[in-house]
Amino acid sequence: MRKRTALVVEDNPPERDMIAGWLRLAGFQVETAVDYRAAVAAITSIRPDIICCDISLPRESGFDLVEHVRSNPGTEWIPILVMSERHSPEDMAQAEHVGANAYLKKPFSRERLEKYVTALLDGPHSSRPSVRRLRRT
Amino acid sequence: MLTSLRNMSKEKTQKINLLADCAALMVAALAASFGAGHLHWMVGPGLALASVLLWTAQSRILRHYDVWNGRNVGSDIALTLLSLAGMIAILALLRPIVPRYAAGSNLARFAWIASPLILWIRLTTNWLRRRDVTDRPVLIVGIGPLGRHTALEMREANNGRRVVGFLRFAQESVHDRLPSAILGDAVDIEGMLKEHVVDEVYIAGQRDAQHGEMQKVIGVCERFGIPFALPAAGFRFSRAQPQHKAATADGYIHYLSVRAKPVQRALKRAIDFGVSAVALALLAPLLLVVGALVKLTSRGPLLFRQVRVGQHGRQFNMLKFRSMVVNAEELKARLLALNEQQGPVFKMKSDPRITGIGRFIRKFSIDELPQLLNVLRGEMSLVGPRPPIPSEVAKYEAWQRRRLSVRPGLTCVWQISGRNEISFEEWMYLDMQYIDHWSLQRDLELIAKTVPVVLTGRGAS
Repeated sequence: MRKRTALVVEDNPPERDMIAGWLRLAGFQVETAVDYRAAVAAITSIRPDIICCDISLPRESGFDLVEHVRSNPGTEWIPILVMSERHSPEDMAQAEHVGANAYLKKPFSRERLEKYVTALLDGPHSSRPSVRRLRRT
Repeated sequence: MLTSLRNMSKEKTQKINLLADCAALMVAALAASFGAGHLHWMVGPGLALASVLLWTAQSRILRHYDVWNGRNVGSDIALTLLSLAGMIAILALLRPIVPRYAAGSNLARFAWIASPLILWIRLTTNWLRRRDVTDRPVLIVGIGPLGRHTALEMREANNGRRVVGFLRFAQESVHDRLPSAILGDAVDIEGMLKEHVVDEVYIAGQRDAQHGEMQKVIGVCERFGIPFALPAAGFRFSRAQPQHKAATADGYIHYLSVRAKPVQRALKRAIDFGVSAVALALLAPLLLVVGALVKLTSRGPLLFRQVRVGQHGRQFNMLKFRSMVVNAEELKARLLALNEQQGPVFKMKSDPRITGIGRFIRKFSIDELPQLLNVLRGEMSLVGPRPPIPSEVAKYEAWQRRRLSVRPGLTCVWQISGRNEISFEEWMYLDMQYIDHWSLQRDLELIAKTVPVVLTGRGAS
């Protein structure tokens, strides 16, 4: 079976390495990007199965990346997990508005990351209560 | 120890907790040295100062007062014991440095007084906090992503807020997987607040799209005196943070229809708790004698439990010594034509339903004393508008609902006015005046004025 690919978009090196490491342990082929441009380039070249994306990036924001992915016919289906230290319901609602599939509050554990990623990839109709399956509105 | 107040910031709660414990340490230190004549006069104050400094330093290091981070009672008590043991050990080690000012027996006495005192404070604090935050029913207006995430976050935060249900804005379509039921439309807010006990309304709308409906909800909340919360931002942020995070900790700005005065309100609850507990203990002999007389002189139960309406419409059993014959409520229907009070309240000067002992205990308001138990339970306060019965509330006009925005009390402005003959509307105005211009000082004044009125039997019945 082909290894699934995850793209981690995170500007903070220790966090990026940790998340990438956890995903590798979970059996993913992992690519990383530090900002919007690198992420867009990676998405076009590797077509990841899932994108895990921070919101505060050095130039364009994670919201912009989500909007880009959603507005592009070739990539609009890719599940996106937004990761952020912002915890207010409004931030989550905004992420949902632009088209993110799930919102993971930082800091998070390896188990939580795996749970979210698994739910997004394997359970299109997963209804486990701890998983926020968000929809495009 | 005054964590009872829900809207008080964490910082203030921590400070007050620390101050209460330090006060206890000082009392213990001075008490331990008091009466031990052979000691240097500096021993008591010195011990007090040393213990307070040590305790403060330890609590900072151990983060003792960060109780909101999900620490349970068990670990809080363990931490308290550890701190006490640590402090006493350090004090014992310090003794040889200041031999003239420190005596071993004194330190042992201090340990015996301080430990139970501090433990008692911590246990009471925990108990009060848990009690008072266990159930805060909230209503969420808006079933979009914001409303749903608000409910989910609330459930996760586990801070006592419980979602009663959702109201829907006009343009919103039903989304699957809402964590609570949709009770109606936003425009029905008034009916919803009459029907359900709601401590706070979260208005999860968009200012541009739902402006009119949000304004209506705000208006009803203000008229009813129900706290409400509005989304703090209304915009998308990728980086910016509010400079003062505490005010919008859950992403909402919270509004009250009265001035907040968080410390004063916490003190009010602490006074309610302390005074009612002490008063019940002191009055126990009187209560026993009166109880026996009530039970022996007429047929029927000792206490009269009547369903009353408390804060934000919560119903509770208000306790009184029974002063009337058993079938009083049935007789009331027949006497209704003789009512001497305007509006939905029934009052008569020489009510034929009252028993002999009843007349006496009513004159001196002794029949009301069991309500100290209601105060202790947190259903009532010492001072506040008298709790109405449900049928009165059903007849309230919208603005009169605001009377339910505070904990009801044993005594209020009207009770000490000594006048039974004011109109229902005047009475409501007096209560509103009390609510709108509340201060702790005013409460204490009202308590002070109530005592002579009760003792001389001049109280309005």
